[in-house]
Amino acid sequence: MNGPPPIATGRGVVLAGAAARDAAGPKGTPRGVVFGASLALETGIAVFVGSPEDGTLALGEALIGRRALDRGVLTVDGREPFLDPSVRARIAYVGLEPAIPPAATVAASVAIAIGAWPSPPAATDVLARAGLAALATRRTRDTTHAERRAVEWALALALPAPLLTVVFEPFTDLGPVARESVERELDRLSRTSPVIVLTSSPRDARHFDHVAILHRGTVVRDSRAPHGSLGTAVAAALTARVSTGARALAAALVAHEAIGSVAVDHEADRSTLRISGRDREALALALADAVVSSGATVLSLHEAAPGLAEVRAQTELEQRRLQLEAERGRLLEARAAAERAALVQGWPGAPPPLQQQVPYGAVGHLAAPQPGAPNFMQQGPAPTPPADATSGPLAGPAPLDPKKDGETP
Amino acid sequence: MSAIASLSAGARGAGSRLLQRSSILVLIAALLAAVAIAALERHAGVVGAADRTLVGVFRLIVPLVAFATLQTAIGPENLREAVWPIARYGHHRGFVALGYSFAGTMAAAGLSLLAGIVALLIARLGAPAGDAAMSLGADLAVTSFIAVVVSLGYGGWLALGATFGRAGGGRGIVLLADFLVGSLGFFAVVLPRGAAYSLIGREAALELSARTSSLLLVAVTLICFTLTFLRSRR
Repeated sequence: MNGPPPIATGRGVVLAGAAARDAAGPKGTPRGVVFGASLALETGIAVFVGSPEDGTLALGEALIGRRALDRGVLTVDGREPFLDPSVRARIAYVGLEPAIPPAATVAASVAIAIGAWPSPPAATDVLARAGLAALATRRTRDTTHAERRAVEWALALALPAPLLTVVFEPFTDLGPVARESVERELDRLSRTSPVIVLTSSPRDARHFDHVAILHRGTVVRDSRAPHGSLGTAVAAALTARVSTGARALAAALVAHEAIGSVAVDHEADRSTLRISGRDREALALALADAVVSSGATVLSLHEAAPGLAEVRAQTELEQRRLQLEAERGRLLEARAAAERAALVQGWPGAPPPLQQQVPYGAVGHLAAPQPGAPNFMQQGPAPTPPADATSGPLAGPAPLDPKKDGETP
Repeated sequence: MSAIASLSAGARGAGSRLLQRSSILVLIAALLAAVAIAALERHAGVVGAADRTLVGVFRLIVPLVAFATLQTAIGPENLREAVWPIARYGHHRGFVALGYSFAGTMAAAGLSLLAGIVALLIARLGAPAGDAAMSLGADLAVTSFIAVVVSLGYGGWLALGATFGRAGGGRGIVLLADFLVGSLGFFAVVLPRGAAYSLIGREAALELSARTSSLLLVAVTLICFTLTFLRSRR
């Protein structure tokens, strides 16, 4: 069967200004949507961090051709996966909710799935390659969620020359498949084709270099450096495994001003110290000082990854900060314009001031001019400026009063 | 990917669903209903019991069996969504949907055939030979043919209905319409109920002959399956 003609050239996956939605919500409504996502990947791994509500599910279903884009362009090897079954046949996918063909046994289900491949191997070989030979004779309806995801993983690994691999939560809920094996195979796949990982675990995302944060449907951060950045940390936490001197180390740490809290878990042959503070570097320096002064033996040290809620909070914080910066810029411009207008009005023979466009939120400040400056926006006596009017625009605009606005000429 | 492979994959997927306990329950229920209808009609009077039994079978059992088997084959969702677990591996959505529909329709035809034969045997066995217009063998052959053709009609309509609504609720609309207006005027020509009544000699839709009704039913069925394919391909 001939597929539709290619709509774009170029290998790999190309996503440009894509808007998509899933249908996993109640009564088929979208659980999440994604707006304006763009990506071009020929090889390598790109990770999108977010929950299904942030649009990871919508993005994944668009990538594998389950749903058409609402807007934008998506091509895999120059063709649209939604329209072209031959492209879908070469996209490996491990879904959040596994969907393997209905069949009596797992082997029969795999046989139906690989029936679309050009030269399908034996179903039992597909399962054996992923270490799932024991599942072959199991009844499909008796398998667990994790086992069905593992079957999808086996199908993904067996797919010859995949054009794209999309994996949801690669290190979670994959049944008997070992994490190391997943890491190894993802690395192998990424050398020849693009791999897209969708996860709600920032900790898992940190294993990869190209990490994008998907927040409320938009990509708010795109980090392409080792140890992918998940956002400006609002707090830092380190976990140290200590063989000797844990108590002394904890005592030394407590005295340090960079340390916010210290928790010690004593085990049989080692102890675990969890320390937290506001600054990662200061925390590490404090730990180094404490190790030297206490003489403790540290076996390992790693930084605790933030949870998704923390990443979200960081993102919200950064976005709010940017919004405030933008608002500040607008207010400064408005204030400068007001001052210019006041100067012009003061010239002999100057034309009367024109009605000006007032930026949203700037009314309070414009209604509160600098003491002594002429008030051109209102007729009648100038109102008393608020106490913090001179402290800067970030002090916050006065609430809009519709009656007052209505009276403003 | 070839159409045959996609069709086959869909049929195998639906077949595995049909080989479950729910299908056995449908079979048992259909047979019990057939026996009950035939016994009641015989009790009411041996003369014409076979004809009245067939009316009962085609009025109640065949549509409900078709609905139940299509529901089992497709599942409680829209047909276009139901095919995804197979289509995602590169099979053509439209042909997989046809595979699902054909498997469900064949199962419905088989069960209806069985129910019709059982009902007819109970209604006619032991009855005076002169009361029947046809021999038992001929009656069984004609009834089997009608059961299969009418089941195909129901299969086509219900498959098309399954492409409407989030959970394929169009199936229920089709069944309801068939019960309410399936034997009236124009609807009797396009819906399976009218054709069934015409074929068993009860009443002809729009004065059409039984042969014309059966041909129209086959044509409408083909149109339904074509529309099912077109609606499911994306």
